[in-house]
Amino acid sequence: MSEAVPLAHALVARLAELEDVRILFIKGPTAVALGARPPRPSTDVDVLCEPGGLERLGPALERCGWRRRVPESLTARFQHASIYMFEHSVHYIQEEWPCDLDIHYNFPGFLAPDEVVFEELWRRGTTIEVAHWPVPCADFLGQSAIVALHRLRDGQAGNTSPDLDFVATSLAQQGPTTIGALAHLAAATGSTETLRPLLERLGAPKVESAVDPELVRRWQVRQQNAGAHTTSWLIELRLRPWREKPALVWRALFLPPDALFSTHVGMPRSRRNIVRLQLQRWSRAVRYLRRGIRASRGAEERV
Amino acid sequence: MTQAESVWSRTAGVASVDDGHRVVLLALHSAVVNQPVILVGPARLIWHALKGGASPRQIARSIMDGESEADGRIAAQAQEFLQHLEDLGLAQLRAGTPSTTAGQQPG
Repeated sequence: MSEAVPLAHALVARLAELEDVRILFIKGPTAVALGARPPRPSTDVDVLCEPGGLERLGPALERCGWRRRVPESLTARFQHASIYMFEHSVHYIQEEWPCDLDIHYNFPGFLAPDEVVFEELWRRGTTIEVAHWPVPCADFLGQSAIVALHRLRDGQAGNTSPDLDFVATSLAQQGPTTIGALAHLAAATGSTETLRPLLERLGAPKVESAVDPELVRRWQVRQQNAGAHTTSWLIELRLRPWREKPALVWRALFLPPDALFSTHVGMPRSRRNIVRLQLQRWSRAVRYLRRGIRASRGAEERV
Repeated sequence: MTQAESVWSRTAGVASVDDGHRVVLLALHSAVVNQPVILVGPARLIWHALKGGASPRQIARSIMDGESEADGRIAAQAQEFLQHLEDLGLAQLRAGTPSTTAGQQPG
């Protein structure tokens, strides 16, 4: 249902308005409309919510039948790996809507405090019509930074991708003033380091900004190695005390059905499907094993 | 007020997407939002006729072809459908002047 994503934009915008919560739509159709992402259909709705706003927006969504999808990481309560995963959003699903809502309380790669980042993006935000409904969204520069960070957070994919190339071309076409503004936005949101590949590619001016070097190191560990669930489990396993390791290994190997099915809404909870999903996880784990071991070593270096 | 002076129009607070074959509507008047409503065929045409306001006669005409114009059943069905839209909070009946372009342009 191609209508679901635009209508869900309108729904979330309306509920946020009723709850007096400031939100900005990011990525998806708003980024496409502003020329920060190549046109393609979206399968979910991405929203950046003001700090603390989720406490009001979440219940409003739940009153309309949406519920939180339980992320695998939370069911396992990663104490150590979570700082490398840059957990950033809560997923909401609704059986009768064929799209997810991804409500962000921050966006990975913006390393300034959440409230500083939101205020900066909000200050320069704009409004566009989606489904004949006005929705607030990040402006072209904000969307460009977000689309780029989304691509750059997985260093394994390299510093080029269709989205990143598109953003770079769009920014370059806007000229040096826009590129300079992007450098200032990056400085204000603590993303000068994380956006460096894009800024260098554009020949952006250097703008001084102070970012906690430990956050930059964590970003680099995540970017280089820690993009997959397997790596999170391995980081956690490496850093937990020995007495806790056996239980964690057991949990990693045999995830509870609630967590297994949380990303497969609608799939019957049969024994056959449980086995199938576990096998899929193990297969993925084998594929990402080397990367995970590298990440866990990287994480251990500063502990 | 005569029947000719009654105008059906869309209510404010409705999000919509039209892909050229069907229109999907979502009423956003309250904090508890129901499921989207899908309109196809004549129902979609009626939705378009409501843009800017239209009299019951204009709305019925928007879904009639030449042969069926004399058939009162079409007008009655259109009226029934409009009342259904009203129950769903998607359309409203008010006194006013119908749009001269009712039913001519999708939107």
